[in-house]
Amino acid sequence: MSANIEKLQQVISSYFGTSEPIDESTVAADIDGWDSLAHASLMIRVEEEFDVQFPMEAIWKLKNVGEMASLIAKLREGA
Amino acid sequence: MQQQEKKPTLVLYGNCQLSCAKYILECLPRITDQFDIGFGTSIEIDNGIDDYNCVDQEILKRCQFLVEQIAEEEMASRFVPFSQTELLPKDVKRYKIPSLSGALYWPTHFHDFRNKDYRELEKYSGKGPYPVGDRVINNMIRDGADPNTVAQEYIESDFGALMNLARLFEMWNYCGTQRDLDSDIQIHSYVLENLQKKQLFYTIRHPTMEMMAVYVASILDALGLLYSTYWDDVQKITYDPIEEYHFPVHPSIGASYGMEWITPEKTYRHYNNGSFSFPEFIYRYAHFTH
Repeated sequence: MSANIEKLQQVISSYFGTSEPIDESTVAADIDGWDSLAHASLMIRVEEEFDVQFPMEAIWKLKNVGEMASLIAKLREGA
Repeated sequence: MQQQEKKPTLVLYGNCQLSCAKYILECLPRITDQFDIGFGTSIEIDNGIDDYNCVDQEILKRCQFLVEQIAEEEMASRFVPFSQTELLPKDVKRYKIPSLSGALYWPTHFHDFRNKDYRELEKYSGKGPYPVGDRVINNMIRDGADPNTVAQEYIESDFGALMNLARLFEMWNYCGTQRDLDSDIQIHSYVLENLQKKQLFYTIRHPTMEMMAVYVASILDALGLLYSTYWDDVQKITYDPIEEYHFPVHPSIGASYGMEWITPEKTYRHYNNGSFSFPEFIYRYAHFTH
């Protein structure tokens, strides 16, 4: 498991106060409280934790946690 | 006796906002003289009912106008699209409308886990005493913190220092603009223009009656049905079907966004238990008082 995924697990778990397992395949519907309205605030937290800024259009197109981790890796490579 | 021909229908398909729009339309004789109003919910609920998201077939057969709310942002959307196109008349006119989001007011919005023990209470309509809540408070309560301490810490916190509210605004504004671009009816510019001047939402998805009146006017305007005395008629509606519970906006968020309507005197309703100032409401919420 990549370092990004491990850190994302921590950020998402702590954000929603959940002990649900989180991996690359996790989607919003798997986590209680992760609705479209909470998504924006979560993404701000993720941006701060990873020191990246997601392109606006990408924020809403991510399908799962794995895609989020890949996007973070791509943004950090390009930094 | 000749059987009276049934009226055409104006059908709304979407979330609680369009359910409220249905209520408003049914209060307008100028509209109900011409149309029966139908509604179907787009909200995904696992309640075991197969046709939960379906509109009554008889209503659809007479449909002249179908107004569909578009899905919220792709990720994390619990949205069931309209799926009964084959039942609509061929000449039906279809319009897409955006949903309204008060996400900017409540960046730590959360469905309170404590509700599940109280959903059977009739006075809370199956939703529990606090249908909307706050994640920060919830997480501290879940960790066993004392509710008085939780409330005090929350009240004293400065959201402007805790999170990037400018970035939140950017995201919220982007979504509102995109929803408008994807729709036939536009509403975001009104929200944007009035956000600081007046309260537009009671909770994250429940707009105020004033906001809903503008929303319905936008629908009628698009359909060519807006009439000169509409605003007078709307003023006469005394009952607000989605006003029974509010959630307070943290004053530091109001201050960050320059919301003039958030004053120390501002109160927030909690069902028929009363209306409470921000600190009163937060203490009650932390204690789950109802």
